[in-house]
Amino acid sequence: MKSAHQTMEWLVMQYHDGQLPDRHRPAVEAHLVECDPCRRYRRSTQSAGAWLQGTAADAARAVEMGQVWRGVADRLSRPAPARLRFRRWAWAWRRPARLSWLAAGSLAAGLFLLLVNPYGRLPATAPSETYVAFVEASDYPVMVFTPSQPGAMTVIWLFEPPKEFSPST
Amino acid sequence: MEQARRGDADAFRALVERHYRKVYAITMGMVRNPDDAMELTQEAFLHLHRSIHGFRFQAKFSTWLYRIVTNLCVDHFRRAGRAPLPMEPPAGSEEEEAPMQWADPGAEAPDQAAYRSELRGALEGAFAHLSAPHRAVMVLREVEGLSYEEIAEVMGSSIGTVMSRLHYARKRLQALLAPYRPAD
Repeated sequence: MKSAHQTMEWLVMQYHDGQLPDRHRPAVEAHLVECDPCRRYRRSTQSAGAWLQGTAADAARAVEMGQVWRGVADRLSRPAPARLRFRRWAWAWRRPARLSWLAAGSLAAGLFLLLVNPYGRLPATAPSETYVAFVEASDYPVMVFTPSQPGAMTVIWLFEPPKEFSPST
Repeated sequence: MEQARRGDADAFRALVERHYRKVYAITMGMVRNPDDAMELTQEAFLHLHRSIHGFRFQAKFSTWLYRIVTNLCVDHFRRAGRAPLPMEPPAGSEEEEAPMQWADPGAEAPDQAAYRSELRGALEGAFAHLSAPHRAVMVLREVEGLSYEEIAEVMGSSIGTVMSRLHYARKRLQALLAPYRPAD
């Protein structure tokens, strides 16, 4: 929780920056007359602000457009990174005319996959039996499962098979 | 602006011409090094060129540009691993502050030029102790004169955070500069 003085200091900052509502200004002005730390705070704020403003503005005044533009033009002549080129390309697709083409293309691709894709012609039921094979490899025994999904296989490498384990096919 | 957005090179050059001093003032204010400031200014306009097609006029252009510049400066500090220096205020500096003579032209030190030069060095040193976000709010406020609300929009933070950072940065500068004030 802020003390009364801290609150007043906060208001002094807003007063100094011209951000304080008019109704609070007389109270802050009266406080500044009697509070030495707040006057010091305001004075140091003024000084630091003037220094920062002065040095940055002086430096900016000394800069010529040619200096800046040479560097900008040089950078612009280099190819943009691939990430940015992709982003720009993707961004270009956001135009409504292109979006409609994108939607039509997506729809055509979806229909193609649904009607022509071999997965669309699979038998309705997958095999219910699971095939398990145990293979004595040179280094490690291997278990092979054919799961119920066609075209997929699960291989389990048994690094330390239990002694009592008796694999069957 | 609209022409630059559509890829007109001359329009983009005109946009750079209109804004380069402001951008350079921010980068210089933040990094305090002319070479780095120039590098960041050019980088900011490169970013602008690459992303200008995405500008949708929902925000003010200057706010958008300031955001690019500020983010680049913050990234610059992060990349360079320039952590802020330890922020140890000098002992007894909080409450025993005398007025800063350099802020009061009516009460000048005997050798004013040397004294001011020393204070400028002290300000540079003290500013180097601030973190990148604290520098950013100071620069946007003092150099560009943005309101708290505009700074919040640029920095993507709340007005409360902006005020808090600004107050903290100013108090830090005040504390760090305390030894350079003449005795009463």
